[in-house]
Amino acid sequence: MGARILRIELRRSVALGAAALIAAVGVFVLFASNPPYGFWMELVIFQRDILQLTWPLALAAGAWQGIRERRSRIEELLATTPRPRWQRVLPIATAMAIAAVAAYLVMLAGAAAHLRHLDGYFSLGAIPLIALGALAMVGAIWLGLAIGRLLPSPLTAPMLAVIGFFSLAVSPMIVAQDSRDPGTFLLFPYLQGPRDGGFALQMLSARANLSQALWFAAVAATGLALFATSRPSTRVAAVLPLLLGAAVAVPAMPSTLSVAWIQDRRATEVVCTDDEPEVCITRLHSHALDQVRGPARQALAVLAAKLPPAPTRVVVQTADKGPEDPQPRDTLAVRISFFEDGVEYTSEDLLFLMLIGAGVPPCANLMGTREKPETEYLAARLVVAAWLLDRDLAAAQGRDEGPEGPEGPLAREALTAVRGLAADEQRARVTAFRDAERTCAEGDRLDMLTGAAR
Amino acid sequence: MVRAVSAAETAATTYASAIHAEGLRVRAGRRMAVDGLDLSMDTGVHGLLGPNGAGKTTLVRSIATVLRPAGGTLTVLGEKVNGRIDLRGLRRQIGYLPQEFGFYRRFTVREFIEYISWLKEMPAAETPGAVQRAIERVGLADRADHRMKTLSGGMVRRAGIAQAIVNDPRILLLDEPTAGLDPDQRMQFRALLRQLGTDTCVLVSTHLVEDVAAACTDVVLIDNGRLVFQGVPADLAAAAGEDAGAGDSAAERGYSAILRRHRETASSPETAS
Repeated sequence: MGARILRIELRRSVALGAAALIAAVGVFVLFASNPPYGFWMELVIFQRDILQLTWPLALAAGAWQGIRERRSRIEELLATTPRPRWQRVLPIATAMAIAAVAAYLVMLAGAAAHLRHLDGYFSLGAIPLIALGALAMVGAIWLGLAIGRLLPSPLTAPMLAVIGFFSLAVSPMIVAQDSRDPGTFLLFPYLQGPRDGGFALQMLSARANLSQALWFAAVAATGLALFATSRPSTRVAAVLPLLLGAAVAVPAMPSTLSVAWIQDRRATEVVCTDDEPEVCITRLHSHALDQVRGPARQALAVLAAKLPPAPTRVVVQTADKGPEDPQPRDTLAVRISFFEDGVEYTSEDLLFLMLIGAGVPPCANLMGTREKPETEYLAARLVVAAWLLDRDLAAAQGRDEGPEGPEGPLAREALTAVRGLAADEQRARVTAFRDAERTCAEGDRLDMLTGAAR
Repeated sequence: MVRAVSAAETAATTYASAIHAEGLRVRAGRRMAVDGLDLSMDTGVHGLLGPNGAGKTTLVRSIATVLRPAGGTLTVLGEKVNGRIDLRGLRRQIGYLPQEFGFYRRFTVREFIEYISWLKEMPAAETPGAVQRAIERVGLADRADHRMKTLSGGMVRRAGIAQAIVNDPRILLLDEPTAGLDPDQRMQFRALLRQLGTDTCVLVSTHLVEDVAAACTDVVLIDNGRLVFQGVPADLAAAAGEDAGAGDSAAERGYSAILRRHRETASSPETAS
């Protein structure tokens, strides 16, 4: 195609300047509109979401480039050159496509600085989302080239940016007949994350990705064809890919958007330390393994010293939706909803959190509801942690369940009562508490600890 | 200076003249700007003269394959241009400087000429050398790596000539090439024309009669879309004769005398058709 010509076009067209501008706008929006992203997937989805802005910008950049021949009044000269138009436009179309992809990737790289954990879990499901975002940008820039060529006015580019932005903002409201988002939303360049949140644990189904890829490719193909054709009669044929793409992609799309989003099972799998005693954490939070390793082993040591037989491994469940099954006896299971809210825990905090309830996860049947928690049950679990650590109730931050909550005063009172008992009695009662927790047996846990001592 | 010779050129020529028009009619918008023109041109420098609206630019554009003839025949390098779909082979051998020469402002001179040479489907291996040669021939070597937009009007014109000659065309069409050139540059340009004319059919459309007199081997004068005069510059000067037409030089006087005589005969009833 002429690598030298491509190099000239890359340097002298608007390609790289437009790419830098779009990337800068995108990075700004990605930074300004959200607190730091907890996970890669959140960033990746949000970058797709703001295609509502970056897609029209790419369209406008394409249009600006597309009017170059007219603006430069070079059409007369070009008309006398032997090289066919479709060959002539290949270098500039390639340069613009490179710019579109570069803009998308640079935007992602730039916004990655707004990630809380750069080394966090990178879902394989993010790769098609990124690739399709870049493909959508290529489609926009090629479509822009075609529109700029067909409507060679200096107003075309700014008008396209504005019209594109507003029509992308308005059209979903027209398409959605009821409260459910139809699957045809995937026809739009931008993508809203799953309605129920939990972006980090979800990904698009292969079906959704494939049908969308087909559609985006069709849009890009039509844009390029419209730009490359030289005769009006062939322009009609250039619309063919678009029609074909729609004919195949629309029926292939999932019926609703909520079906398109599926669980990322790899994210909730646990990864463990290589060495003993084993400390495990969901893959989504694997970047925190080093942070929890120390406190976890300390927690095992405390349990081994004060409450044998102790578990020999720790599983930190951090996902919103974790397994509800009772954990095996050899496992200290702790569910910590940390990291999401950006609270940095100290090792002391983590140790305390792991020993709440003697390292057994809370029983759903005893916890009450979020609106009306069973404070006595939660207080009992706190007492056990403080007893095991032989210290006063520590301040564990950011927890519903903790000394700062309504159960705090209750727990402090109960702790004093337990410490008033004989040492053997103390151990017997905590052991009984743990056994009850393991089976989630009904019963007043606080009474089990303090009983007649109160 | 060694000129690259392509296989197409070394093949035996089977045509009588490089450009041949018979009863050629070409529309410019709604007007028939070239209307029944008979003309033959071969290697050499042909100066195309005529008043405004005579059809000079339309004729050049039709030879450049921008415009399709509306009637008659136009044969360029032995290929009939009328109605041909594939002009690719012919276009490789044409160099063209339009009257309004458009260019990409952000390209450097070298990049722009290279871009045009690519569009003219020159072999990639020959391109850098050909580009450099073209730039040197128009005296832009010291500005070769400057952006096109930084060039003065005269330099732009020279860059336009450079892009037209970069493919060593067998037909070179220059529409008002000397506009914006200073006297020194025009003299250099005339020298370049004489050099090119030894192996190329050069057609220079201009208003400047003295350019034609100084650099052309052949003068073509058209009016109202028809050929009025074709001959060597000396004939043009001689045409003035005793009846002094307007003009400061013999050539200019000849030019206006021929035009006046032509218009008189064209408007007299017995020769009007």
